[in-house]
Amino acid sequence: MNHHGNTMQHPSAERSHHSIEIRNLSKSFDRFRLEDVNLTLPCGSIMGVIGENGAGKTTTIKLMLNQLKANAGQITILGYDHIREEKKLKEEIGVVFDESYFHDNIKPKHISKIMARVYQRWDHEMFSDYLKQFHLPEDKITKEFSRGMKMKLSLATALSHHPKLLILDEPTSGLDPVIRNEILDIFLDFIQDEENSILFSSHITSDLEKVADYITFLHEGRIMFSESKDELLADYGLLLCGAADFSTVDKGDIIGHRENRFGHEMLIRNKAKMAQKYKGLTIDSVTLEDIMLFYVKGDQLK
Amino acid sequence: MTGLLLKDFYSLRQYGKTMLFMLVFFAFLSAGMDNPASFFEGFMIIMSMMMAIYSFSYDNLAKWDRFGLSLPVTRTEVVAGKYLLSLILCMLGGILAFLLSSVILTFRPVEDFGLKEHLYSLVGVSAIGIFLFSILLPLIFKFGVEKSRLFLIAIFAAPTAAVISFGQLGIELPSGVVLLGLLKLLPLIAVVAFLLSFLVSNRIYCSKEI
Repeated sequence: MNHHGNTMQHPSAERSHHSIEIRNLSKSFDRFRLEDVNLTLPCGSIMGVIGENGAGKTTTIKLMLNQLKANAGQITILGYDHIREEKKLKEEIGVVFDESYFHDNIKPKHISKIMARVYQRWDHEMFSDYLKQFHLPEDKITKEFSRGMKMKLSLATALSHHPKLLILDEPTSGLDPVIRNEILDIFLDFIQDEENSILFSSHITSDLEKVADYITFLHEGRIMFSESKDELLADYGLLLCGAADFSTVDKGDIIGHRENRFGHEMLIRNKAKMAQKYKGLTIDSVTLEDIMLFYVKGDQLK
Repeated sequence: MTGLLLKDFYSLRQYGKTMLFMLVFFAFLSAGMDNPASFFEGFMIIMSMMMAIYSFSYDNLAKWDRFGLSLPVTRTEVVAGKYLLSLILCMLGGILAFLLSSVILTFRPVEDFGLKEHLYSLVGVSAIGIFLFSILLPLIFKFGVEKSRLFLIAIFAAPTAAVISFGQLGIELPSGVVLLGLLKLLPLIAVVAFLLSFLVSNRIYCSKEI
C-alpha cells in the first residue's frame, strides 16, 4: 500500500508542500467507475476540478472525506492519512457542499454553539464577524434564508475554525453572478495565507478561470489532465479551417473536433508548435469551457 | 458528540413544546382511568422516544449525514449520540409523567398502588420502551428512517397481535406468576438489548456509504 514512501516517512515535511495527495484512487459502482485518479494540490493554491455532471467530482470528494470506501488507492490530506487520522484531518478542513445541510429550524447562533462543541478551535468571534460581513441575521431560522444566504452561512461555518484547507463541492452552483463573485473574493482572501489551500469542484468553468491556479479535468471517471491553469490556457488552442484545409491537418494532432457551417474547429495542444506546423491556419486561444466541451462533446478522429 | 446532541435538541425544540401540551392533555385524560399512572407513563415514554425518530427524519430532510460526516466526528459518535438521545428522552418523558401522575394519585389514590408500585410500573414501562427502541434503532441505521416507519408499526403491533392470536388459537397465556417474574427481569433484558443494539447499529453505520 505504500505507494508513496516519502509521505509515510516524513508527514510534516510533506505537509509543507502539498495539502492534498491522491494516488491511484479507484472506486467502482454498478454503472460508474472512478479509475486511477492521481491528484496533487500544492499548499497555497486553488485547484479547480471540472467535469460534466456524473464525471466523478463528487465521488472523489466523498472518497476524500471517507464517506465512501475506495477500492484502491491512497489519500493524504494535510499530511494525514484520510482514514487512520480522519478526526485530526477533519479538524483542519472546512467543507462546503452545493447546498446547505443545516436543519430548517436552526438559527445561526445555534450553529455557533453546536460547532463550538464539534471543533476544538471554533472561533465564536470570527463566526459572528462573518455573519456581519455576509449580512446574515444571527437569530433567524435558516428556513427563511435564500439560497445565497444559506451558501454564505455554510461558508462562514466552514471558515470559523481556522481550517487550512477548504473542500468545496459546487459551492457556486445555482447562485447569481453577484453572489458568486462575492464568494470567489472570500476564497481569494482565504488563500492570502500561504499555508491555506482550496479544492473547488464546479461546472461553472468561468468561476475557476477567475480564481484557480490548477485545473483538474475529470471525464467519465478518469482524469484527463491536472495542470497549472496558465499553462493549460497557453498550451491548448483552437485550430480553425475550412473543409479544403481540414484534409491537410494531421489527425494525430486533433484532440477534439467540431464541424459547423463555417468550417472545422479542432482542439489542439502545443499551440506554439502547431502555429509553426499549420502556418496558413488560424489558431484561437481557448477557455476552460472550450476544452471541456471538446473533450466531452467533440468527435474523436482517430 | 455533545455537539450532535445539541443539534438534535435545537431541531426538536419545536416538537418538544407540542409534547408538553400533550403531557397536560393526557394527564387530564388519564385522570379518569382506573389507574392513571401506567397508561399515562407508558404513553409518554413512547411518545418522548418517538422524538428520537423525528430527529432522524429531520437529519434526513436536511441531508445532515453528509455534512455531519465532514466534521471531526466519528461514525461511532454519531450512533452513540442517537442512543444517548433516545435514553435522555425516555428519562425526561418518564420523569415528567411520573411527577404528574403522582400529583393525580395524591388527589385520587388507587388501592394497592403506593409509591413502590408506582416506581415499579415506571421502571417496567421504561424498560419496554428501551427494549422496543433497541429493535428499532438498528433498522433505522440500516434502512433509513422512512422505510423504518413500517417496522415501527410492526414492532408495536406484534405483541398485541400475538396476545390476540394466542387467545384465539387456544394457546394458554403465561400465568400471572410467570409474567411477574418476566417483569422483574425486564430491566436487565432492556439493558442488554440496548447495548447489543448499539453494537449492531455501530457496525451498520461504520460500513455505510453516505
